Amino acid sequence: MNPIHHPEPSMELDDLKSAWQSLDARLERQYVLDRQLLWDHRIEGARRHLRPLWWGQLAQMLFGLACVLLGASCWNMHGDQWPFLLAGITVHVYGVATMIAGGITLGLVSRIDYGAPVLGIQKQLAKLRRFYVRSGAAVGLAWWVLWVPFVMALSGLDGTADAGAWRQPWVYWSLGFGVAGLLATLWFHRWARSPERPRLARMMEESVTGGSLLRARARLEEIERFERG
Amino acid sequence: MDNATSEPATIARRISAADSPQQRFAALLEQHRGIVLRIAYGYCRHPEDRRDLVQDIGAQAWRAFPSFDDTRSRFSTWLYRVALNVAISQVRNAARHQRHHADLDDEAIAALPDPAGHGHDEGDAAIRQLYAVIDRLEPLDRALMLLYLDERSQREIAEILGISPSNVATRIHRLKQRLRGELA
Repeated sequence: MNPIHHPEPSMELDDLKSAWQSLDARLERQYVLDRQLLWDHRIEGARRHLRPLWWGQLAQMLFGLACVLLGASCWNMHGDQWPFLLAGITVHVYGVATMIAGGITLGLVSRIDYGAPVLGIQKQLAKLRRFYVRSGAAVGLAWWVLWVPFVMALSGLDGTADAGAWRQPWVYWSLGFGVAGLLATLWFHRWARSPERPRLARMMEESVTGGSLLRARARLEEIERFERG
Repeated sequence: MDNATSEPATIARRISAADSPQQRFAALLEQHRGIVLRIAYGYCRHPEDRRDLVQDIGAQAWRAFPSFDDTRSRFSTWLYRVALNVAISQVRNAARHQRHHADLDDEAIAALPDPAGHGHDEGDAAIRQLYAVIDRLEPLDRALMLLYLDERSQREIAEILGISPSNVATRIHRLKQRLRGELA
């Protein structure tokens, strides 16, 4: 005699198979209605899916190329005036870094083969996301400071530009303000995500970089846990 | 369900070497459409999300088809990989949107005809319980469970997920233990 009375039989994983198989049989019938789903706009769909990322990275690389040309022409034309030389090199380096970041992202995207084993691809996607977010943040945040050498390089396109005009206190103040703004942004980003400020943390979580980075990290950790068994 | 052992013979009847890649792909996908539909039902509750996912899987499979090598893996294994990779990515990217976390679409379940002729209540309750279990799992565990429910061998699950067969056995054992606790 069983001393324990179960009002309802409990299910185990193997019991769920029969429910799953009954669903499978139902799907087979419903598929008659859904058949067209697999074919509608399939190629267009794949292209549409990737288009924003491709165009975004291509635009970033073109912008980087423009910066390289601007920076190179500045330090080339005014190699004898250190403020222009420095501004030109800075803009040039920024342009190269921007192009490399865009190229790496596109390279990572093109290497993704959805027919490869799931864990490998999910790890690749998480790393791509992490790189994309970090490089995007670096490319954008640099403008706290970069606008000064960028404007200098633009003014340097005029062959007669005088570097003396840029050795002014406001230039140093602007650079200092930019560095302070950059540090403040990074500090706020970290401070706002503290568990002590759940509302602000949630807002930051929804923001582009904070949430994406956390999610990418969480995915990589989840994959590693899964791999460990 | 797709029977792995009968796959080569069945495909051979439908696909010839003279077929264009598109015809070959179409025939293979038609043969294995159940995989796409089951994965879509396993990962999406909302009918529109499911529709999007089915289309995305078809699109990505077509895009990745040139890299499919039938001497290295079976089409079903390859399609499982594509479908799971797309589904996991979609479910993660969609996690922030309310629509994708809607409650069970009871109407959609009820609308599916029951081929065994059982009363809807009985079958629907089992499927709801199944969905409730699936929904509580993380995307990778969900993939493992769906493959297990599809009666894939441990070796094939290992091939699809990219982990060792012993790791598959360990994870299935843990999954069973966990579900036993949750379903008791």
